[in-house]
Amino acid sequence: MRKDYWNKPEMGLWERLYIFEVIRGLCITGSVFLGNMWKWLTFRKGALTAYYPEELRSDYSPNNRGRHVLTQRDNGQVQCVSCNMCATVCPAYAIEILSTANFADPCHPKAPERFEIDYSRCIFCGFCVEACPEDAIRMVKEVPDFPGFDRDRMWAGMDLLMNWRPMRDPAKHYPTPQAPLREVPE
Amino acid sequence: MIELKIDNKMVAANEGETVLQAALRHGIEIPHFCYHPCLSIAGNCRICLVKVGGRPKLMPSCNLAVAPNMEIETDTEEVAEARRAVMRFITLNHPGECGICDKAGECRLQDYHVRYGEPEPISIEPKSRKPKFYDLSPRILLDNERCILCGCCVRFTQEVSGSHQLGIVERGSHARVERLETGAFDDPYSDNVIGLCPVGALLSRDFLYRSRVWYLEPVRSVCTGCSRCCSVNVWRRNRHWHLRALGEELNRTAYRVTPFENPEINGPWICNKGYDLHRFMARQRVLQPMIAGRGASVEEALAEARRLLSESINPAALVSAHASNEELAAFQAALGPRLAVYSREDYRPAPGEAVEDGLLIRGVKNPNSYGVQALFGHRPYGVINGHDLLLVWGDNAEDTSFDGARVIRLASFGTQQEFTADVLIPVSTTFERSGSFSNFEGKVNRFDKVFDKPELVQHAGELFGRLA
Amino acid sequence: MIQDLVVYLLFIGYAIGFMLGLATLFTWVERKQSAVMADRIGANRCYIRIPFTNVRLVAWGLFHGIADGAKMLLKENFTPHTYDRFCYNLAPWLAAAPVLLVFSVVPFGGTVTPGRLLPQLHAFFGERSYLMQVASLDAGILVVLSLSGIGILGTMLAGWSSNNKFSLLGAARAASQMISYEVAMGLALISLVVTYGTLDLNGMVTRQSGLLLGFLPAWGIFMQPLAFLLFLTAAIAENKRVPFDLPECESELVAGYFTEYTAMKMGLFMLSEFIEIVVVSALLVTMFLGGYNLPYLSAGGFVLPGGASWALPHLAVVLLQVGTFAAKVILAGCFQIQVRWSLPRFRYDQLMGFGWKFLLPLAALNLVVTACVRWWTL
Repeated sequence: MRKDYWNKPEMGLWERLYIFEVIRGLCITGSVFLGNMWKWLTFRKGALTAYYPEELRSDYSPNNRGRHVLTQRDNGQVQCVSCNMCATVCPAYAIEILSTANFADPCHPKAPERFEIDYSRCIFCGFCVEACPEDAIRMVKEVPDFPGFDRDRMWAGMDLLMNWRPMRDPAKHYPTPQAPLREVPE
Repeated sequence: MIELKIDNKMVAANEGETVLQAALRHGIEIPHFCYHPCLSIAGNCRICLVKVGGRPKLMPSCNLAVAPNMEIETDTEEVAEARRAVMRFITLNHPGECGICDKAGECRLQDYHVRYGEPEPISIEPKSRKPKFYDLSPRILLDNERCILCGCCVRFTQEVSGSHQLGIVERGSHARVERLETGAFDDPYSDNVIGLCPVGALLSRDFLYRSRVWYLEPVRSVCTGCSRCCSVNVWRRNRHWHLRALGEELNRTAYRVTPFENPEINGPWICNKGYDLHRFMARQRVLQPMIAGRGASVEEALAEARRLLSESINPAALVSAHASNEELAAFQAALGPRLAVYSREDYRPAPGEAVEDGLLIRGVKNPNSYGVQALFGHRPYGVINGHDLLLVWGDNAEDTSFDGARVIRLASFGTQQEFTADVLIPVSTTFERSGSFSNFEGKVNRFDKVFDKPELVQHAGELFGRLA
Repeated sequence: MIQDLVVYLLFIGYAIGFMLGLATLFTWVERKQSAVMADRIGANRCYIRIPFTNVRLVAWGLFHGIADGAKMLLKENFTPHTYDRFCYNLAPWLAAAPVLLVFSVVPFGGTVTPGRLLPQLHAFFGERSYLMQVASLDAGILVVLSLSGIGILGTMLAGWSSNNKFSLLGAARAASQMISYEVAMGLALISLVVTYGTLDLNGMVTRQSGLLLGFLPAWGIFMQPLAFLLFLTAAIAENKRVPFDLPECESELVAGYFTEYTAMKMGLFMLSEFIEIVVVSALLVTMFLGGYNLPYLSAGGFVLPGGASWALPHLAVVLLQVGTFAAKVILAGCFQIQVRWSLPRFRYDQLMGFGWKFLLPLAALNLVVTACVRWWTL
């Protein structure tokens, strides 16, 4: 005895005969085929997908979260102060920062020596951008050159992140101090 | 025993205690910057103000002795307003650079600002500038802008270490912590002021910007610098924050060492040598078992050692003073009856090192000399005894000459070329095993494993059973 | 005599080339057609770079067939721990060879007289004429049925000797399915035989060359529409393609009876599937779609219903016939691919029920009706 299911289809004689419904289905797929084929034959694109590496999407939403950019100060230094907020908030543990002390610039004694993002782990949530207190990390809508052959080699370093699309308009500026900050008494 | 009421809760306080101490002991939180249980009471930060029943004004609880039937309130709107005002005052010239401050995450000012302060400053004046990153000593940086002038560091040098090398000079918004006329800040306990500082004004040069503190986790260990065996926290990277791109070796590195408060042995302090314990442990390691200068597998080295032991007529062992009590017991059980045992001092005081003082530092520079002596007696090795095989357990190769005897070495640090032994077996360091040391007073202090040992390195305690 | 040898060698070469070429083409057609149906682009990553330039010849992904072949030939030839190496190695050949043989009885053109094709050939061939067919057997349909019966052995051997549960299940399904649908297919073909009165495939094509009711080509599909549907369904089921791909359905059985096959052995199974598309199309065309017949084209040229005629040279007629056959086969193959990408898969009990309780009675009914009509008209 076959079990009756709640969503058992109710088919009339026409559907039950099967062959006519099959023909109807073939007409549907066939018409799609012919329509698309007509476009191809008249030198138009009959597909919704893109030839990925050759053809890049141009219609990304402006809100799309793509590859990261590290902004630069006016003097070309990286805006990041290596506070590790992005690395801490990152839910995928994809950011690693090695800090270094640089007392030559009294306003920015701490700077990143290395800034690594693992794109094999990044989930593009954008938390790093929101967490950044310095407007030092941004995400632009484009996602170029992401594929890789080795998941251990999908790290993007500071050089790449700063220079693949240089941005020199960080929203936060520090005034140059009037007096030297590192005076040594006596 | 004095009974008083704090926040409508009856609290039993000892004679001569302050209200702050009684409250902290009973789990009632009162914020405090300048108070430290081991230092004198300064009462200059004013954040610990509480309402005392029957008195018109708020009183600093750190300087208020308990009295019978006192009624203290710590969470009224009046107290909260006073705390807000004090926080407003303290942060008036505070630069607010928590993002790049090493103290952030374990900073009391940061915590209290979130809990008791207000989000926006009300002052529109520019903040006053002071010298930043001032070299207080080769080990310590001072950021005067962050300093809140609680004076803890000054009181530490005056009352605990007794060097009187720090003081607060000038006045008003120019006041800053400074070395006094004596010049250098070369106190052997100087690094304690880093942990003592409630804000990020005093910074360790060694730890500067190496990691944010919340990436690290402390593991209880014991300083091996002298026979005091101070309890320390060794800070390793938390498992969640293990690094991959910046180098796996950073995950096996101790980032810093801080005191672990152990009232029986060291209180809340350790000396600068203890603060450098992670550098002591990061020296060149012996990682490869060797037979007569050639690399070998662990099994081969053990077999060779066994052969030497069985062929020997008059074997002896030199027992390391860095061995834990458990390893000594294992040695005693497995090899003790067969060998003549001598005690060995792995390290002697370095030139210029503080040898012994009345506070913490002891003259014997090995942690477990007293454990060895308790088991085997004090018997230094001499060449005259005519042993034909020596099992030398411990570091520091430039030791004695062994006068032609065959040598089996168990060592942790050094280069392979340094050891001219017939068999060399690398053994684990204090960071790589757990166990306990007996200090010079006979007090036992335990330590936990911080890191996994490298693959070819053996735990000495497990080795002796396989050698027998 | 030597002339016969030359002609039949040419026929054999043409037949094999036709099948393998079309099979390779259909792997491409399947990818591209499904892509176009689904608003996609389809396989286009293979290219040949013209030497010394940076010009990449993509050719709409046509080289994917070559790449597939090269890949299958170069892959590791993994053999499972089976206790029957012989059967394991025999199975792919047993699956592929009968499919290739079926085509030998299919006529791919009308009668050719080589001597009249080109004046230069007349001295050699004289007035000999040949049916364009590798083996013109009287028992054509019986050969087709028996050879496709051998194909079952291949799948069963493959599944059994692979020493794998999925393979065995797939083989069991394949055997029961193919045998079940063989019955319906046989009955459908018998009604066709009754209609045409011959088992010879070339004879059937000749019977379809006339006109029905004066204007309709007398193709099998018009004379036996039900048999056409039955044969089409049963043939797709024989080929184990969607919606009858129970023996190799990925969601249940990984790859069914050839799960354990790698490299070119697996390639033979795949190739035999695509050759079978060609063969099924060829049989459909031969038996139901008029074979090489173009409407109104006779051996002498076009004769339209109104009485007008247009004489053509023999060469043109032969080429037209061969071309017609090839075009019809390609279209029929495309239709099969269309079916494969349109219909969902049957459940196993539905498959069996469909074969035994629907197709078989219909085929039997069709046979009875055909027989009655035939008895009445004789």
